[in-house]
Amino acid sequence: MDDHLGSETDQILIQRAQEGDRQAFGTLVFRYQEKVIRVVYRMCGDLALAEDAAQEAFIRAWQRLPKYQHRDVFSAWLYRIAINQALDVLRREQDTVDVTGIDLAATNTGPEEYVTQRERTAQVRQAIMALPPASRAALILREYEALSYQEIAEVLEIPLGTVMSRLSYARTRLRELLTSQTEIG
Amino acid sequence: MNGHITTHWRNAYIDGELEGHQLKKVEQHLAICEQCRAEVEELRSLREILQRFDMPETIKSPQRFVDEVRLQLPARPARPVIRTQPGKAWWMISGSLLGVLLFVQGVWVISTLVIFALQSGLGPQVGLSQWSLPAIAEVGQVLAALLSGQAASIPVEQLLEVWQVLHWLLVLPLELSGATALLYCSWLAGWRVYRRWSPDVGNASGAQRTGS
Repeated sequence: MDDHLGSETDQILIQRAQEGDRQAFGTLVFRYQEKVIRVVYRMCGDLALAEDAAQEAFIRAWQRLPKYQHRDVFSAWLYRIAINQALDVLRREQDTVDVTGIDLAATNTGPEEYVTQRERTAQVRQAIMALPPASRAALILREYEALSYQEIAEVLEIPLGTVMSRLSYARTRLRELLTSQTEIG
Repeated sequence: MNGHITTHWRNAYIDGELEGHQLKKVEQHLAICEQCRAEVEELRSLREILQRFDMPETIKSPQRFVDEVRLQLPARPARPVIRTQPGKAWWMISGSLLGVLLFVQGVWVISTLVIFALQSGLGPQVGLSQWSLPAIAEVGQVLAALLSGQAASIPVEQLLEVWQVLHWLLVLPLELSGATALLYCSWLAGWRVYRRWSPDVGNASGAQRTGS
């Protein structure tokens, strides 16, 4: 990575990137790529798709950077672009994204000791992917990115009450999907 | 709080979003309500289960990811630099200075023509013979005396009168022209400084911008 930019603050890098400095933008991409890929992956459920979508999200961020206001939190602004990009991908790839994984019903047929970690992961992934995208986004930002309710509201541009409603719905629905004698109780 | 904790409050509680009075009420209720405690524990268990959806290792290395993004970055078309425009008053300064200069020059030209007319003997024809000729004649005499080195022979009052005429006809127009020119140059310098330092609607000059 460009060492001379490694110690620069985000605000300085953003300002340089707004002036057209691609190296500065590259440093920002390096710093935030993990977060963006993580969010997009959990929204889409497919890693290869998520990496491509994350790259598209950064390209979109580059194009919109001149309009970015420094009073906004950069990570929230970036999350917003990433989630919108993930939603675009889901709409585009709805017929091809593999979210089936292990059939939920099959996990109830055998004792817990035979359910592998991979199956549990797939089970959870499938349950999350079964949520409506709006609720899924709120859940992912809360559970995996540890954003506060206020931060989630800013990212998704929704009221605080709507954040609480979506989270409540998501968790209730997940409990229904995942509830079994071996999982919760 | 009547009955049990609502779903929203339960979620807010485990997410650490409650504080102050709300937090205290929930904790007090949980201390006495087994059902709500069980609900809260179920939510905590769900949270642990959700962490099983872990992030696999990425296919591309971080550097490769960055390089690919940078290669795909489109060129942002330059947005025209829109400078804030000065008000009309700014332009009126220049116009006013020009007007003053023209007025002064006009007065000076007319004065020169009058002198020329009088010197050429046209004074009576333009109605100036009774008023201006003696003063002009005196000016000529005094100037001739000064040039021949006979300044001491000239009375002070006469010198002052001649100076007043000369000042009115020659020096004053030059002073006014000079002052006007100085003001105009100052306005011009201020204009150049303004154009150099005035903020754009966008950002620093020479940058790439997306079209709006």
